[in-house]
Amino acid sequence: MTAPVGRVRDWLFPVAPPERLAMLRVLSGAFALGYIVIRAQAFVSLVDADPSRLAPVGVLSPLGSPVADGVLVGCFIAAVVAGVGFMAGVWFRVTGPLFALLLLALSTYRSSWGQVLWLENVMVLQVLIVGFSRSADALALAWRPGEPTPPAGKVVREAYGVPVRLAALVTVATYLLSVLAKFRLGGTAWMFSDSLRNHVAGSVARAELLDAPAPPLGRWLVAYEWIFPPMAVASVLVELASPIALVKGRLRDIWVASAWLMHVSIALLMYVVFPYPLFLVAFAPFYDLEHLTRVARGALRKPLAIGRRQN
Amino acid sequence: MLVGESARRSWGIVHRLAAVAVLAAVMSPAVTNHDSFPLSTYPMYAFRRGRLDTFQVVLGVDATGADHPLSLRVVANTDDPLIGESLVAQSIRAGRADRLCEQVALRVDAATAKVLVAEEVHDVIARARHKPSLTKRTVYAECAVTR
Repeated sequence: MTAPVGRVRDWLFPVAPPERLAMLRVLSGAFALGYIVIRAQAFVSLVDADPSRLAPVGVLSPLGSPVADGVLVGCFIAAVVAGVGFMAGVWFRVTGPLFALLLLALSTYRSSWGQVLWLENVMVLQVLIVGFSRSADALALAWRPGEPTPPAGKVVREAYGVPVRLAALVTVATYLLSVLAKFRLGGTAWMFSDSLRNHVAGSVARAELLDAPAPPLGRWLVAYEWIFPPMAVASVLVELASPIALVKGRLRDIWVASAWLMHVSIALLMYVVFPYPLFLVAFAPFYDLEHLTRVARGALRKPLAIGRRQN
Repeated sequence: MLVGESARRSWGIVHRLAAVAVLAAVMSPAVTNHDSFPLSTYPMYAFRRGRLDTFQVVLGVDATGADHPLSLRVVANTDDPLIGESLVAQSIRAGRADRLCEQVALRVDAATAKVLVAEEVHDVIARARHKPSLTKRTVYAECAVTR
C-alpha cells in the first residue's frame, strides 16, 4: 500500500481507546435522553393529532395511518428506559441499538405531520452511530471513578476510533449540505441581498402572527440593513470551512467557536434553536474525549478524598 | 500490552464498508436533492426571501370587530411556531380551513366572537418595526363562536 493511501486509510479508519467512544456515548446519550424527556409533550401529544395531517417521511414513509396511541406512548416510555441504559452503558448490546432506533422512530414520526424539524438530524444520526458501535467497553455502570479502567482500555482499536470519526464527519456533512442548499436555492444573492434581513424580520412577523414571543434582538437589528450581508457571508464561510474541524489544533477550536457563535446568533435573532450544537455535543467528536474521562475522574476524586478525610 | 500502533486492532472490510456507506448516505441528499429525515438537504432559510411574505394565520375577532392572532396553544396545541404555521398552512392547502376554524372556535376565550382562518401578506420589515404591514388578506374560513 502506498504511503498516501495508507495515510488516508489511517485518517478515515483511526484507532482510539475505548474511553473516547464511551464518552461520546455518555454525552450524546445524556443529551438525547434529556431532549426527549423535556420535549415529551411534542412527541406524546401526537396521539391527538388530526390523522388527515399525517405526511410520513424517512423510514416511516410506508406508514398509511397514524400508529395506535398505545404504541406511540409505549415507544416513548421504552425510549426513556433504553436511553438510561444507553447513557449508563448497561446491557448495551440491547439498549444501544434499541434507544437509537426508538429515537429515530419517534423523531421521524414527529416530523411526519407536515413540518420536518432539522434541529434533530445530527443528534439522531450520531446516536445511531454510537448505538450500533462498541460504545460501552468503557465508562459503563460497572466502572467506578478512581479505579483502573478495564483491560479493554489498554488497546486502541478501529472499533472505537471509526465511529467517533464518522460522527465528526456527519457533523461536517450537515454544514456542507446546508451551504450547498444556500447556493442551490438562494445563489450568491443570498449573501449580498436583503435575504437574511428578511428572514430575521420574517421570524419576528411569524411569531407575532402566531401570538408567540418574538425575538427582541432580531426586531432591533432589522433596523440596521448594512449589517446583514456581512453576517450572511460570515455564516456561509463558517459552513464552507467546516472540514477544518477535522484537523486537530487551534484552527479546529476557532471553527467550533465560530459555528457555536453562529448558532447563538440564530437563536437570539430568530428564536430558532439548534440545541445539539448549542450544547456543543455536535462538536464533541472533533476532540479526544478520553481526556474528559481523566478530568471527570480528577473532579470526582477530590470530593471523595475530602469525604474520606472527614470520615 | 501498550497503547500504540503495536496494540492496533483493525476492523474487517465489512465494518469499514459499513462506515463508508453511512457517510455516503448522509451525503446522498447532495445528489438526490431530496429533503427527508434524518437525511436532509438542510434547506431551512436557504431560499431568497423578499420583504413581502405570505403567512397563514388564525385570528380571533372580538365584539367590536377588532382582530388579533390566536395563540399557538389554541390553534395547534403546540409551542413551536413552525409546527403551528404548518398546521394552518396544511389546512388551507387541503381545503380543510372550515374544519380548523370550527375546532379553534371551541377553544377560544369568552372575548372572542368570531374566528378567521386567513392568508395574509405582510411587509416583514415594516412589521418588525411596528409599522403598518398588512398588504393583503384572503379569508378561507370564518366561523362564529357559539356558547
